Amino acid sequence: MDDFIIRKTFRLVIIFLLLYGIYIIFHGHLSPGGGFAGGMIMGLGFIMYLLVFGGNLGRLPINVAILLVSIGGITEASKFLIGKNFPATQTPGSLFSIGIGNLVNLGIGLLVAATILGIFYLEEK
Amino acid sequence: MELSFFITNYPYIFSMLLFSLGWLIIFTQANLIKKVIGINIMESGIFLFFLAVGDIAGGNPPIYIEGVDQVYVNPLPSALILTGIVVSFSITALALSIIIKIYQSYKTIYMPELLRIME
Amino acid sequence: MMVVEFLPFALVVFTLVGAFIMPFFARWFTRGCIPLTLGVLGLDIFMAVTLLMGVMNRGPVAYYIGGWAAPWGIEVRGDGIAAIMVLLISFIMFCTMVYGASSIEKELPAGRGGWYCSLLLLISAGMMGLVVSGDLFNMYVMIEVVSLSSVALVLAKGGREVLPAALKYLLLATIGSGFILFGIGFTYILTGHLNIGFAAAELMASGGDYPYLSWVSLTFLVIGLGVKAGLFPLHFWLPDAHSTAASTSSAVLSGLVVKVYAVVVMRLFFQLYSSELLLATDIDRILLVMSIAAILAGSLFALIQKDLKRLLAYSTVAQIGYIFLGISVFSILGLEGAIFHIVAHALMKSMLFLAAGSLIARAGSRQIEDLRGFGRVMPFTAGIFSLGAFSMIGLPLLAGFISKYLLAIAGWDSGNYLVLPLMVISGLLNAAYYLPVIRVLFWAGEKELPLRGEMEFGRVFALGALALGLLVMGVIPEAGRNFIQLAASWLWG
Repeated sequence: MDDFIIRKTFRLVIIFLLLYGIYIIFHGHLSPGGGFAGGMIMGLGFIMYLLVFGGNLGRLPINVAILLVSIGGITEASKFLIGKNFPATQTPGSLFSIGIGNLVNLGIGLLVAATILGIFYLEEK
Repeated sequence: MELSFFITNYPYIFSMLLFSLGWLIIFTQANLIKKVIGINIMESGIFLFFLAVGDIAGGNPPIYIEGVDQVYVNPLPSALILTGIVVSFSITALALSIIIKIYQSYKTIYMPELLRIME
Repeated sequence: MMVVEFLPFALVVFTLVGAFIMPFFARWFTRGCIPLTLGVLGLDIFMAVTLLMGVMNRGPVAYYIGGWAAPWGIEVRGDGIAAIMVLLISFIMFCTMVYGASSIEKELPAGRGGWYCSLLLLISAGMMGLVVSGDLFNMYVMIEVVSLSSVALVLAKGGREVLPAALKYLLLATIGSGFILFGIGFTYILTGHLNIGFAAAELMASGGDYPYLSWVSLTFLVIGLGVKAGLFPLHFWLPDAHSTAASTSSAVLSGLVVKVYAVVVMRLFFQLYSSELLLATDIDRILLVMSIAAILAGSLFALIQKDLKRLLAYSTVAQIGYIFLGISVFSILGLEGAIFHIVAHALMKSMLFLAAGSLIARAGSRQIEDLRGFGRVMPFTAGIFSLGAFSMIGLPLLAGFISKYLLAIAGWDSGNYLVLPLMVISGLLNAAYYLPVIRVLFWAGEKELPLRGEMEFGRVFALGALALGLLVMGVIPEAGRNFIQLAASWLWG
């Protein structure tokens, strides 16, 4: 889609879209949302990128998806490394009150984003 | 069985109806896309069932607010259904991509014609 | 010691992490994929042996994820059946992967090898998670992991004939998991718990008050798991899916995947529901009839097959009947026979599928008639195939004989006198469809044969390892039977 308006608008929007996704991922324990919903929003951001700049990206999207799957999987597995009662009892309601749980949410988000991107890329191809 | 039984238990009855409708569609429709729609209807029936299990009349979303004493709905079935929705999403994606491949190699998405070509 | 408690969970997580790292290797270090998979599975075997030894010495262990105790946290159980199944899964996966090291590149489209390794690790993690899970919803999640990745395993071969089979499998597996989820929902309504132990206690206390609800939940669970395990009237996806897949996929699907659902049925029957509740529903009679029908119908369908892999797939339908027969006689001996048959059949069916894969790869056709004389071309592979077939028939000194013997005795003890003649008849039926294949393999007739020569070393080695396992199970059954006896008695409760 080689359109001036879409490209200019997209450049403005994409930062906020990804940031919003990350915001939802990190606030998963405080408000509705979390890893899956935030990851979905991030993935949709990637899909928009593909739609706008698609065609001349080659294998970049699938490489990004693979990296996200690997990093997300390892991050997500990090929750198993700690033993007792992992949502640590710090001040309830603050952003980093669940210890390693934030990392777990981030892992889930990355996995979901990678999945959405991968599905769309494969169908697009 | 009185009328009040049906009125008080309507979410369960509707969920059973949706579930049965879903797999009836999967078994009877010839169009593969409609079969996938049947999967989604079936899963919606299950989700409705679980949400009905966890619901409490007049309950609020289970979000803790400092100093406010209120009735919460049971969050566990909703949490389970979140997982169920993710699974349903993956199944739909996988089924649709298989159907795209079937259309590319057999040029049809109608079951009888597909069976005829495979013979 | 702390280590043994942690092991069932560590096995699942370790394999899962392996599966997640694999796409990275598949894209940038394709050569590293197969060694990495073999390394992960080898370590799995090591951990599973440690777990089995620890569990047998110390009794069942339980681990709670994150340290949250049972009603809230997720329980991971390391009891006898879990330890045996985990060892079985990692051993057969390892052998399949050793075989696959040389066959994957040839059977699959180019560039799919690394992704296929990832799928194999994912399905092993799912199966291990399923057998160690002590929580109903965790079971559902693992069932979904296993069924989605098994559909993908069927699809991995590429080409157009796998597509309808995979779609059929996916649709029926989805219906099955819908039924399972509904059954779990009913159990949750009835008991208010998802943990198996707590739900069982609650059912024991109040199950008699709501008989219809508990029957409905049981019915949904049995139908769902029956579809997934391929129990007879619900089996019609199985021959298509198992026969069109690549030979390594077929070995995994037929040898392991349908068995883990039988293990779940055992867990639900003997750990969730009490036996009074079950016997009040006549579910044992229903399962007995279904499994007898499975044994007879599977064998009769296998008799008329011209395609070697379809024959093996229908044979799986019959053998699933044996496992459910062992469950349905409701005795500790029957349970022991069922577990023994799970182990024995996993060894022989994966061996048969892998050997058939070698023969088919050399002959270039799946039709039995086209394989005429290939026993002379590849004597070792065809010999292994015959060994597996003899074990299926139930000749003494092989594992298939022991499990049939145990099942027949269990049936006789529990008053089902039909089981003993059924074992004899099904043995004869197995002979009727396996022996012609062996005859076709070794008696060439007038046909021109290619030059004699085995396949690569990896394939031969994997077949040899599986055959060794089968012989050990058959010649010195006490070696495995002690474990299995303990596992059955713990499961019985």
